[in-house]
Amino acid sequence: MAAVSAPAPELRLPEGYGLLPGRSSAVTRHWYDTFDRRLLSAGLELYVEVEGSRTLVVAGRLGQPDASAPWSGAARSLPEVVGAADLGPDAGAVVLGRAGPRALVRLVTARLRLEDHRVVDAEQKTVCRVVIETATTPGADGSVRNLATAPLRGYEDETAEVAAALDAGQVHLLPALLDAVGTLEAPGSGAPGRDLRPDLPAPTALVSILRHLLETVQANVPGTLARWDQEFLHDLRVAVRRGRTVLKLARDVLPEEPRAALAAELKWLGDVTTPARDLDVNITDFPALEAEAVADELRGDIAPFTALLAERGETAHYNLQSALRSARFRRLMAESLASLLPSEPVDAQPLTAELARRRLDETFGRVIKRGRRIDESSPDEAVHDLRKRAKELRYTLEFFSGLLPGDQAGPLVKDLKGLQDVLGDFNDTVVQRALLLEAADALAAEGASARTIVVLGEMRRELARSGQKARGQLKERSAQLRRWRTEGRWDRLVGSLR
Amino acid sequence: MRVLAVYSIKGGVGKTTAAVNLSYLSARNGRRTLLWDLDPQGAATFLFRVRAKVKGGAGGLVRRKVAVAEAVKETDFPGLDLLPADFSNRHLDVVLDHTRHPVRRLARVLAPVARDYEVVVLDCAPSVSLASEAVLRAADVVAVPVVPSPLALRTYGQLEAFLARQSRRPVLLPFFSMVDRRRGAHRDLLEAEPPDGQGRPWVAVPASAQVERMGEGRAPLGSYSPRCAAARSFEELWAVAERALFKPPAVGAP
Repeated sequence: MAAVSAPAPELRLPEGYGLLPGRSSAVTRHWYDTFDRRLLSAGLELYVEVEGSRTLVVAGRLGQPDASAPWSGAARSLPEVVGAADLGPDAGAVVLGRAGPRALVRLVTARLRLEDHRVVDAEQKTVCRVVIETATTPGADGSVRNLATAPLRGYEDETAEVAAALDAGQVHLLPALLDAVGTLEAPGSGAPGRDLRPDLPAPTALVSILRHLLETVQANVPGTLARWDQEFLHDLRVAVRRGRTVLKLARDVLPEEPRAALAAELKWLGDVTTPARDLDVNITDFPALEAEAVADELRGDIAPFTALLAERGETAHYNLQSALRSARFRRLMAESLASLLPSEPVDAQPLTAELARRRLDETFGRVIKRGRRIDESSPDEAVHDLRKRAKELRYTLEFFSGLLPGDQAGPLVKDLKGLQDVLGDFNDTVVQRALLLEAADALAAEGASARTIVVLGEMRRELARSGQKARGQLKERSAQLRRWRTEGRWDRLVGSLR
Repeated sequence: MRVLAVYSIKGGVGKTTAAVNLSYLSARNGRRTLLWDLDPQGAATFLFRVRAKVKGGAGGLVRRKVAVAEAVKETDFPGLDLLPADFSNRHLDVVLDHTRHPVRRLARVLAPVARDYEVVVLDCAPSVSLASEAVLRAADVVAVPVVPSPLALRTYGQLEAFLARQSRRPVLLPFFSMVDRRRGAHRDLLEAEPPDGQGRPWVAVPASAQVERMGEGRAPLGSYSPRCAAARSFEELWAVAERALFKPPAVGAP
């Protein structure tokens, strides 16, 4: 859908209908959605509309929202993020479930001119209203125009007839405006390797994937800094991990010095984001674990521990914000890609398909080898190492999945995800048990009550139980993955690379 | 939902004019309003420019084969819907006669939209019939246009006497209609004691060119000539009707 700066659309009505112009008005509309456009994907929209002193929050089906409530806050300074308290029960019921854990952030603001017209039949009776909505927003060339029809009760057939005649002029304003400013998809979203061609020189392909991933990092910085929701930081970290995987795949393909330098910088970025992310997860997870593991008579005694987590969370986010505002981070984002493209002639470089085949075989082999070594007595570090290799394989498959016909990588990604879930569950229990032990020392030193220490102990015991359970599933999950090799499915998959 | 019927045994006394203007004023004052045109002539339907056609006809509605909500048409005036008439309304008596509890029937037909509307205005055909009995049974208030003449007053007296014999009696709201103060007979009646013995002067709606133009403009008076004498009289009449419709229950009432 392209933005149009076309002349006013002609209101071509079916025979027997006429048009009577009504009033015109101007409003400002601020659309909100989750950063990953969950409302839009579900065919919904949410906006705050300001007309003079009247401010409404409106939600519902895209193009026909029907839940509205007066805006309770100040219209002059609408927030970047809205929550349940701003929306009222009707609009909240429409959108909050869809948003899930994600914040509703302001996506686009437009100035709208609304020209109201009545469509009348041969008796001059109004059968529906047509509103010409002309929207302009900074950053878009021209304006976006929509013809919205609103039926009168009892005239639905006539309205459908009119709407069908006006079909060419009907667009949904929100996606059209986002398209006009180039943010129909969330910045940095989408599969990073989706445009790869098998005959593309591998360095070009890898740098293109890296560029996409760094865009994803950058796109998630404002939400991470403002702490709109936890997913911004999560997505930022995933992009960093994927970037590190690309740089491993780029061994002997991209110039070594800048490759190693960028790898070191991404490791730094990953490391500085870890404490804040871990604390985000812990602050969410521990109350649930308490409910499950701690006896009723000890409820409430967890408070010193949650306060400790909250305090550490604040410190971790402060440190993270400092890192994301640092000159080092700015340099990483601005300069690191420039030196990566090799100066060798193109014909001396491997092609993308060739590199994909080689690297997929290597990463798959590493996962199989490490998976085979894991048993009941393997150290936690070995399990964690398998987890990292499994992630690398999954990312590699995702990067090159566009070179496979159809969705051939899908079933393998599903099996890998099964393995990763178990590995993730296990790793969480290891990390959280260590945290509980360390926190118990710290709280005891501060004079926490024995009851609080008992609570931490009970949670630790529960984590040990679930860790054992996860470890018990590892063997089967690894075997499931090995069957890809023994049954020849892996060779067929890699062989189908175009 | 409260029901206001505009009813008269006699025809041509300004019934539809009153029904159209009262329903318009009700909606304009913020009350969701439905006007049900029960007159086979469909004059109210015509005045709102709605096609005189009801799916399944009056029989379909009364026998509840067609839901009221499906037959309703939104007018060009915010908050005012119309249940149009068509010529099949002339069989309303026959249709009612073939139903159980015919006198209670209209009230039952309206029950499904009771939450949608605060006020339902019934524009009735001039007659004494099963249909008019059903209308009087369904109504909370009955507005009765009376042309200032001895014969019209006698007819109003007959209506009063009829209702006095009923177990459920709506509030009667008589008003003078088509008043011409140039005529001595009209002036005399207007200046005399109110004929219903209630001591409350009747609202007098004048005969006027603006009212006659409703047929050409096909719109309620208030939408094109809100300051004319007739429009002001209807506002006065609506104020009385609204008080009667929404008066608080008497102390001790169940």
